Amino acid sequence: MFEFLLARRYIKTQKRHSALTICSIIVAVTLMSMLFTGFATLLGCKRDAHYDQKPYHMCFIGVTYEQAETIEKLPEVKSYNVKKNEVGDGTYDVEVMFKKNSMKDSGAYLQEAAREKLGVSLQDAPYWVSAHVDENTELMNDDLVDDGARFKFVQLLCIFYVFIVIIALTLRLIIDTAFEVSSKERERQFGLLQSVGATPKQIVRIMTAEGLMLSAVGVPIGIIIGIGCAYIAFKRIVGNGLADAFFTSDKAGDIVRFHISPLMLVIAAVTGLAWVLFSAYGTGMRVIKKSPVEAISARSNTVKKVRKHTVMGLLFGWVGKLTSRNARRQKKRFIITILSLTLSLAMFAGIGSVMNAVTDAVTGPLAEMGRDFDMSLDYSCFDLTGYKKSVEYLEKSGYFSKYYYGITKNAQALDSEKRYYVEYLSKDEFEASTYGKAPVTYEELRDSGSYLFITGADEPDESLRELELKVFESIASDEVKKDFEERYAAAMAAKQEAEKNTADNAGSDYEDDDDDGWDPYRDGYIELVKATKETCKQTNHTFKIAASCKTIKPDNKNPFMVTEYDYYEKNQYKLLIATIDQYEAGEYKLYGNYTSPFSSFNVDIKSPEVYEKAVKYVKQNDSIDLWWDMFGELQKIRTTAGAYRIAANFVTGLIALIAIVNMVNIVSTGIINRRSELASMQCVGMTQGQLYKMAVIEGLQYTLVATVGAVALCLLGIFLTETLLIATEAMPPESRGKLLSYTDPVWRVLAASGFAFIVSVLAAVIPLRNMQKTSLIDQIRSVD
Amino acid sequence: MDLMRIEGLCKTYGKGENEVKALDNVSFTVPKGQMLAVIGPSGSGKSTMLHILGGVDRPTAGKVFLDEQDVFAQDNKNLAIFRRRQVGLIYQFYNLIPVLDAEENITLPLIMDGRKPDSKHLDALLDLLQLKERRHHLPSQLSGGQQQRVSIGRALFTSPGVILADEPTGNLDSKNSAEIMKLLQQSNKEYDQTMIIITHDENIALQCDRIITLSDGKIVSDKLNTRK
Repeated sequence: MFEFLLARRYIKTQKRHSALTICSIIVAVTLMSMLFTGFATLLGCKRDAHYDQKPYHMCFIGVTYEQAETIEKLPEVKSYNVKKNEVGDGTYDVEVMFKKNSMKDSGAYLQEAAREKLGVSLQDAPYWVSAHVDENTELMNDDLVDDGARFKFVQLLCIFYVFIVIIALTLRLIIDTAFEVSSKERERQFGLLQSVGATPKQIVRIMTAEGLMLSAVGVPIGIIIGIGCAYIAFKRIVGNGLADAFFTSDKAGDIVRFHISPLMLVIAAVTGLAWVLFSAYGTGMRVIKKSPVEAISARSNTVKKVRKHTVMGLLFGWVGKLTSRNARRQKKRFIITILSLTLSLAMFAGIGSVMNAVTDAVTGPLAEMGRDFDMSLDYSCFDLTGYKKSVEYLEKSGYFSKYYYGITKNAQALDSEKRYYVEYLSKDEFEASTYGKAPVTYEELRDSGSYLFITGADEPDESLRELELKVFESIASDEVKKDFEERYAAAMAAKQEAEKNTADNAGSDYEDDDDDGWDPYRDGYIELVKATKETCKQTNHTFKIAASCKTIKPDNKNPFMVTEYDYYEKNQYKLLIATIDQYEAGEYKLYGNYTSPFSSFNVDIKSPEVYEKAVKYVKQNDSIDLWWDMFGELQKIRTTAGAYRIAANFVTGLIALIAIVNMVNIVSTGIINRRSELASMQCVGMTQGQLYKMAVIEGLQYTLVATVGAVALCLLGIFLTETLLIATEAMPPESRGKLLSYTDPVWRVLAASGFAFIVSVLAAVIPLRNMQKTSLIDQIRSVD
Repeated sequence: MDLMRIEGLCKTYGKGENEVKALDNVSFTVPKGQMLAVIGPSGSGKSTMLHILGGVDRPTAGKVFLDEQDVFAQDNKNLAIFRRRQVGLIYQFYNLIPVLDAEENITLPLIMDGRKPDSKHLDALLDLLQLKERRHHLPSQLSGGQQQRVSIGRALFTSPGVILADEPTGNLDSKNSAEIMKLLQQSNKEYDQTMIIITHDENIALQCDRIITLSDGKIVSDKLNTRK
């Protein structure tokens, strides 16, 4: 075919242009394969992080030997790991990994397996599952175990592909530019070919054949370089400690690994090849729009309209005027470059700021409160010192380092209705809740058997040393106590029955909802308080005051955070704090033989390594409920935030790279295409200094417009986000400007703009310097 | 008094076997106010010589003096200023800046010099060039003859001592050619400007005071035009 012959000749004779086109293809395919490899790595790291947290899809806790054997033989199970339960009660823990696509719905599967395979009764199955099975839902989603996971994966892919299409359209511009420059130089030759009988179709075929041949070189190189660049970028990310900061710190090196997906690379290659062929075809179509006569006699760069006054002209005089008029000669490319540059600057700044805000929002309140704990536990007890059993149970494990708990009682002034809270705190809770600012130590209070008096009043009464109050004795009569316990037991049984029926009917896990029935947790407590109040006695007690102070607040307190002390202060409550040792030593008797049946306390785990064991240990005790796994949640948030941050940085970097490549392309080809003009200007007296000044202003024009656009975009984005949050009542109106910083993204945009400016100047200066190597006459003749 | 003195001008392109001597030891002088035509066959070195005289290209050997000042003793910046202030260049293909209109193209050397154009002088020149109505037209909106007039206006506007024209009528029809020559002659007389015109056209050469013929980079004839 003569088209291929001609295309090959053009490639060989126009080595400079062929090299430029191949380079453009390489750049585009490199970026594409970087993007796909990055996506594969992100998915892989996400999966590894979830696996690192819990190395199983499901863990069956405390099962019998027979049950463990049955679990191992389930057809859906791919691998398993059996361990003896640490409690030492002869039961086993079985960690299971399931096969891909092995079930429709993991929740329903568990219920069915419990009933049909593990011998759990129909009624008990939901409770058995919630008590004995720990599901790693995230890992099951990553490994596409059930239909729900596959649906989520398809959703993610769709979002990614929408994004890919946007990126790919921008990438096409790079290839387009290369073909455009190459075809511009050959317009005359195409005109000549048409004049001797070549059909427009044949001209288009020549361009397409050229694209195909150049792709054969550019695409494979682009894929290889793309993998290499992605690996280097990945190493940089890991090397900079980003992974350590966001994945579990001690294992980040193992979790964050580089992943290559052959499927993703094939998609990248096919997309790259498609864009090359589209670009070549499009350029061919543009070429044949001109008649042979026009093509043969065409003179480049005809300008039909210019804007008389421009901002750049006002700022930088005639050089600025020339610069802005030149930019408008390639309006479409100028706009796309500015848009991609603006977008990348805004994304760079926006993502950085939002990620900081998210991290602050997650970790900030805790830090500002000065309070930190890993788990919050609920326990049930029906006597005044019942909590001690739970504390002892936890202490025995050796997994916990600190115990934050306290007992709160009520008292009332003898001569008024003024209420007092009396708190008996554990040592850790005392130190944590007084932020190290208490005027007395825990030991001083304990040894003297006295109280710390805290008041919301501006000036604490220093003379106060003794305070006689009437204590609300939460003493219920034996009848009341018995009646309550019977009602409670009956209600619990009824509730369990109702929940079993609901679970059976729904065929899935029971989920607690706000029904209107009698809730032993909620309503039972109210009834008991009511009953005790009706029968309670009041005892006068003298509180010995060791010291008094104004409400204690942490330093750098988050203004949106309302602490219990804020509540006390607002309501002018007075607080008496004593040690739990005093309470245990006998003061509990002051409050009668019966107290509120439920309480909670917080604990810290000794180290991240014991986290999993600690969770299992807590779950094994029926009277302790883990209701807020702060450590696990924070770990999950950090993992997710880390993954998204890496992905966001990668995407931003990629868009920035595209913007930079486009800018370099447009600036340098603009200079090369105008070499005759620039030489003409030098011939009539333009100095090299003026020429370089023009190059600098040209670069400045791009970065200036993009910077203004990016700053506006960021500020608008923050404003709209805040407006949305306020409208949905997710944020109070007075918080506007405090949740997301309006200044932070501006500084980020300016910093990134500086880099873009340097690149744009280099993109102009380098071809100018190369042009200076040839004489002005040669530069003028290069087009003529 | 001689305005220009050219001494032993040589220009060589390529090296070794590919070496081409575009100019080979060319020497001559040009008195102030003379209208000089340089003729010769293609490849004889006419354009090369003109570009060297205009400070656009540097010679391999030899010197060019303008008002007894060695043109190539200057650095690149001063050479650019020399082109801006002391010579006016006219090209066959005009070499106008496409984003600037006729008026802006004409005043460009002065603007680059940081000076403000004199509007009266500009109006007079536009009048002379018959471009008053077209002063705000872009090059793409002008005919070939009009574009060449803009190019001449650019060369004349700073009132340089020497005008160098490389085939100024080479791209124009006979009517436009005659108009351009008339314009150059008018400028030569009115402003006492020295003009060096490169041409293939014998009729144009015959309108000049002196005719130098180049062949293979050497002067083969240097005659005063007695038929003018």
